[in-house]
Amino acid sequence: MNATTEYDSFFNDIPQENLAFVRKLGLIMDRVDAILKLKKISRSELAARLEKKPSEISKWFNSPHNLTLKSIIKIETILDCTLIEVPELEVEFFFADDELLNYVESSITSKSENKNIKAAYVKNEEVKMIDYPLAA
Amino acid sequence: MNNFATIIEVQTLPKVTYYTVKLTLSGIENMETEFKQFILNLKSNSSVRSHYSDLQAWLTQRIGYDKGAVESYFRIENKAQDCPNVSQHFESANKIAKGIEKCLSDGTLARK
Repeated sequence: MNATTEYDSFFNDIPQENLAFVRKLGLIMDRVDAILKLKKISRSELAARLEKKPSEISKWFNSPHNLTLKSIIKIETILDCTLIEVPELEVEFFFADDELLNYVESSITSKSENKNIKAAYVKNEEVKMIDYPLAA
Repeated sequence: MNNFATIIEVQTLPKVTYYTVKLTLSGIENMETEFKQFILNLKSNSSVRSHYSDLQAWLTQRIGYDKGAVESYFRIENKAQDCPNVSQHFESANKIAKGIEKCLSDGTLARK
């Protein structure tokens, strides 16, 4: 493999999960940065309130360093803000098994008039979400 | 001046252009660029696989597309020359940096 191919591969063959991690970390830290400026709190003050070393905080801002959910919640609490919002599960229909689902599916689809309806059912203890109307 | 390294453009992204250097050392022909050596050393090392991929994503997305080479991404290393693992790279990097500064000041290299 020549150098150009190696370079192309480095910048283009990036696993989706790592790309998603960096994008989300960037969004979170940009938000923290904006709130710190708004509230006139320095990064070293944030570090002190989190009981962490300033170098640890610096890694969050300046490198792909992992930020734990506990740290995120701690920052949210200290800064009185929301950094991550998780939508609550909306369940309008609840089915017990595939057979019942298939039966109700046709009637719901015909009545839904192209409106998107959220439905959910449980199979093997796993909650599955469905959008109605289903694609033909 | 004595030609001890060649600068090679690697990748241009919206916010940054990456370059690498190829050192010219006596007795070693067709030496790989520093960047290619880095890739070859780490790409197949399973113990750093996830960190390597995070670095790919950071250099491409965060620096290349979102922020550019902002100053806070660079840090001053005070102890690097004392570490047996990185002292050689530290000395090479300093030599290259001095060479680039000299070329910039005498006009043989221009800023974009």
